[in-house]
Amino acid sequence: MKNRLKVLRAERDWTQADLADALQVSRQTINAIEKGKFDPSLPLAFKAARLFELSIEDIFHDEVAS
Amino acid sequence: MKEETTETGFDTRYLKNNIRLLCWIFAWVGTMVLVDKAELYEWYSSDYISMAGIVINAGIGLGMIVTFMRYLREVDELQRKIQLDALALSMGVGLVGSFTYSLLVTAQFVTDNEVSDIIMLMTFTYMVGIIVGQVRYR
Repeated sequence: MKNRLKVLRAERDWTQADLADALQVSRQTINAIEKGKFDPSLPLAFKAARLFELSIEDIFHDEVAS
Repeated sequence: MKEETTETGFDTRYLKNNIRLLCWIFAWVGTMVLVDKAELYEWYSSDYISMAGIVINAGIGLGMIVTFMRYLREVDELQRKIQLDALALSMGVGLVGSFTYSLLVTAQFVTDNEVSDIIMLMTFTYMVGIIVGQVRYR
């Protein structure tokens, strides 16, 4: 699954640590999600969507569908 | 974009929880091996000391279980996945290893029947699993 977390984070000038703090996860988790090594759970995806005030589909993309 | 290396409050808490859990694991494995070897090589003759050693080991084991449950509740989903993968690997190796060991004893290829060897194998495999997981999702 691809995502735009890195781009969205850069637009806000946030570090991975800032985003990790906001989502209550480790920086390692944010790094793994950004690199596409780890897919977040639905609650975490919703949390990220709420934080960026976007829909889940605006942040995460299914590679098979695209 | 800002510097990426800053640790979060979550990371600090996670590190502390890791150290606390490792202390419990090492204490339990250490007392297990110690009690086992003490019994095997008859370091002492008193039954009271033997029983005290076993009770202390079991108590530390219970403490380790409670600490591990608390640890799993507090980690995030990536760490939970790493833990699950490592536990699955450790349990699989422990299960297969203990049955293989048992067959070797039955076939008299091995004369010793040491439970602590299996515990050490499982602990080692668990630690390898954790390291592999941490490297994979670094």
